[in-house]
Amino acid sequence: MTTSTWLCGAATAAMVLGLGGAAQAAGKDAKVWAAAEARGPPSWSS
Amino acid sequence: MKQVVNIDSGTGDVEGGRKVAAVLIPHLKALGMTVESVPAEIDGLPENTVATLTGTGKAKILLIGHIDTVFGPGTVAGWPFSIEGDVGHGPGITDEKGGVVEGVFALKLLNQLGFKNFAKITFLIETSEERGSPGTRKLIDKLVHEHDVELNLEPGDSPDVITVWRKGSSTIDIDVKGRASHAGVAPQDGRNAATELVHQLATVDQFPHSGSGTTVNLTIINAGSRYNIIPEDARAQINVRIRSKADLDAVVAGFEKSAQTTVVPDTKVTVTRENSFPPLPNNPMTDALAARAQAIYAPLGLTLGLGGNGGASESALAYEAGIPALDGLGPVGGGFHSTKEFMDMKSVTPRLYLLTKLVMELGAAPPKPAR
Repeated sequence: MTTSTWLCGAATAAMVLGLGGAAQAAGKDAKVWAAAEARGPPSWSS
Repeated sequence: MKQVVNIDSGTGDVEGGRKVAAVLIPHLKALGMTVESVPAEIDGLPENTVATLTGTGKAKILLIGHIDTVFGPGTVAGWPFSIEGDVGHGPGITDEKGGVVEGVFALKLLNQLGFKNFAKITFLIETSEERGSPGTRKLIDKLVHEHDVELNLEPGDSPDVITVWRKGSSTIDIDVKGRASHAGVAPQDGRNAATELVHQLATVDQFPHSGSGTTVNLTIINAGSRYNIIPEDARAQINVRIRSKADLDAVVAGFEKSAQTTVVPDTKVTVTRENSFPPLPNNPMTDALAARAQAIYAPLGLTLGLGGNGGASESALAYEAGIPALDGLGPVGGGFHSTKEFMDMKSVTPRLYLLTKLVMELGAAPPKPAR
């Protein structure tokens, strides 16, 4: 297994384990996202 | 959202435009913004709204949205705001009332988060974009020169695309003057302007009607006044969309050449052009802003596409002034300018997040203008 293949496999494993989503969420501004969610579609119906 | 979509505000509907502004302005004032209603620059249009918020940072950010739609009075009665599952419907829901509401909500988020790292945020809500902004052109020109960056709230394209280029929009008017006569008693004395116009319109087919380059389409045609009169006057309007200004010259030259040769004797053909918006070409300033937007979006696990379309907007005026501009930041939708217009409600939260974060990042580190 080459290094790149191993990394690819590790990334796939992380995604299967749900770690990919956690890694992606690390870059998300949680405060802003929560505030945006609070003003999401339900509040657009009024 | 429901409130503003359920008000007819087609371009030129002065009362409708004022009613929509009356819904929005209290929200802006509640955020501590200075709100000014600026009279339109031509008659028959409602006031534009300019809301300004002063911060403690460096960047001057201009948000632009419009509340005029292409739909006439009475449209809402037969097609009111509705949401079915993840899809919203109603006249102007994405073009562009959804974008304007998103702008108001982004300002509310910034207020809620106590974010003040910007010198100034100006929100221009204009009322004549769907006719090329004749009532706002000078105001837009003034504002873009006073800011470091322009963020435009036109809708995003499906599946989730922001706009990095736009075509310019112009109209070519073809006017034919003939001679009126009784269609039954003395048709031989008439010179049929409508017939000549039909011949002139063959030129339209010399150009593409769709595609990513120049498009030329017949959109309005008028001729005749009564069934028994040979028409003295006929007029057609041709909508032209171009990727560069030089492309328009080629189209106008085609119609002017045709006008030199008439099929109906003694008729006179006049060709005039009306420029609405210049094109927003691909450019490094917009590309840099788009890269920032993609970096903001990626941690959401979403892919933000980059694209362009034939719909013109105020961003082209910002580009002409040397100001970095990014467009298509409103909620995603489609079916624009038709009763198929819709909003993808799933895009609302990510797009609101994107706009808010863009303002926060640009407020702290404004892009360098080309001027």
